[in-house]
Amino acid sequence: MSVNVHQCRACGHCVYPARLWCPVCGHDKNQPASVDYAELVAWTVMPQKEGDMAPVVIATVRGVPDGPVMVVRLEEMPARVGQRLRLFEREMQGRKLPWAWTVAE
Amino acid sequence: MTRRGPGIVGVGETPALRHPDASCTTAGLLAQAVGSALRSANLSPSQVDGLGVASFTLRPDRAIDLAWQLGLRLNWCMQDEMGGASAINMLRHAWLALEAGHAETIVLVAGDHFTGADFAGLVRGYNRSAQEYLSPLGCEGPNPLFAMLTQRQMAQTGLRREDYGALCVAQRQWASANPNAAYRQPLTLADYLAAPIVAPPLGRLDCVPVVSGASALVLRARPQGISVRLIASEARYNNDQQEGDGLQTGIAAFAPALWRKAGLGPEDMDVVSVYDDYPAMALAQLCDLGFTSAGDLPGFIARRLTTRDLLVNTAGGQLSAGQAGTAGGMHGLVEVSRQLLGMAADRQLHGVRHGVVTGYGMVQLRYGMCANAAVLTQEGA
Repeated sequence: MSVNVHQCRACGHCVYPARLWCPVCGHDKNQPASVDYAELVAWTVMPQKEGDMAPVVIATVRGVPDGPVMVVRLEEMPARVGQRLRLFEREMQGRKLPWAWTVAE
Repeated sequence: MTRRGPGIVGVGETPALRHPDASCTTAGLLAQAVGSALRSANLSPSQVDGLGVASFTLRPDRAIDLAWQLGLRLNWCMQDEMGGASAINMLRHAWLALEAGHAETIVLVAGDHFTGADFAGLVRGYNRSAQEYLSPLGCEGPNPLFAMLTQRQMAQTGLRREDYGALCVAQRQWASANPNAAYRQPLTLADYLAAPIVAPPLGRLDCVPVVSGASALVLRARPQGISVRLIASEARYNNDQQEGDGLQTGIAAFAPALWRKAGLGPEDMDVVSVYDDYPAMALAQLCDLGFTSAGDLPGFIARRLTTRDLLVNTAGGQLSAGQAGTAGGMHGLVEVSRQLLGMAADRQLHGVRHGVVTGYGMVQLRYGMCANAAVLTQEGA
């Protein structure tokens, strides 16, 4: 389980989602790189809509160890900023999007 | 005597409409704001030879289509779609055009007319990352992103919800004297705290009310009488590649140069407008401009904002006056210009000579990627 981010083939900088050119070195070729874990930076909960089975929890996370910072969906309410999360992809509306589970500590 | 440079000579604004009637259109609102700005400057449409337009909902029409609808013959025309940063972006371009002799009289106008569906569609598909990544993930619109930024600002600065509330209460007091504001009735801290939580820690009163409306400004190459001069302006776009924390805006990068070019500092500003899409961002910009520091924000709000020691967002800001789409940035620019021109009627502030205005916005992934500012000064007759 992991999220596929985009790693610059020239300098190794990772971004998500993909960009056309690397923001660090300007190179235009990247390769997929998988990130398994992240650290929680901030989170919030969306107003519940009709049909929502559970609260929609949105989080900003930083991939461990080298980023990138991503906005992801959480499976459950987190406990605290800085906690470790396990990243995975889930298909939503035809796209593979980044989700995370909280990891028992 | 040396010839003076260009000047802002008039302003106009429509009421901020929460529930416009069926006949309301974006072009109609823009026309109304342009008309009122021209009347305030005692000019006729036939004297206008430059037009700058910012709007999300004028589509499929563009600036030139609006010129045709208004019967304007132009030497200079521009369109801008940078939302909260549009007003100052257009001001910077218009100023250079007037100095270069490309036009004599330029009107800048920004505004939008929204139905509920228009607004939902705009935020859902705001840009490619919203359309393909954030919205499908369930992260719709700017509220969740600024909720997370506010959470981080609270952790960094020690701000509590009561502090953000004090800022909202102060702005509502200013709005009470603005007949065009969407919300003018007094707001108490208890009201603020009792409002439903929209995306924790943001409550409903931390989020700008969506309204329909337009704001406009008239500039002349050779103004007569009292006018407002742009003495310094700076901008940063995509300053940190969205890889910073967003608690600091691009303003921090240019503030020293802005004040150096103005030959003035924050302490010289009599009237201030900071782009207030959320209280956290108004405060971040006041820090970035040098009015306070992140470590002293709670005290700064109590000492200088709630007491009106510092005159900030004196028309109520977007938090009370409303956010009419791209008119958001123009609202603050118009208010500071109006005060410096002495055109604020019942709510005219006295002894104001210098003002600063910021623009901020165009959210990409996590926060706004555009920031700009203008230092303005009153020029006598």
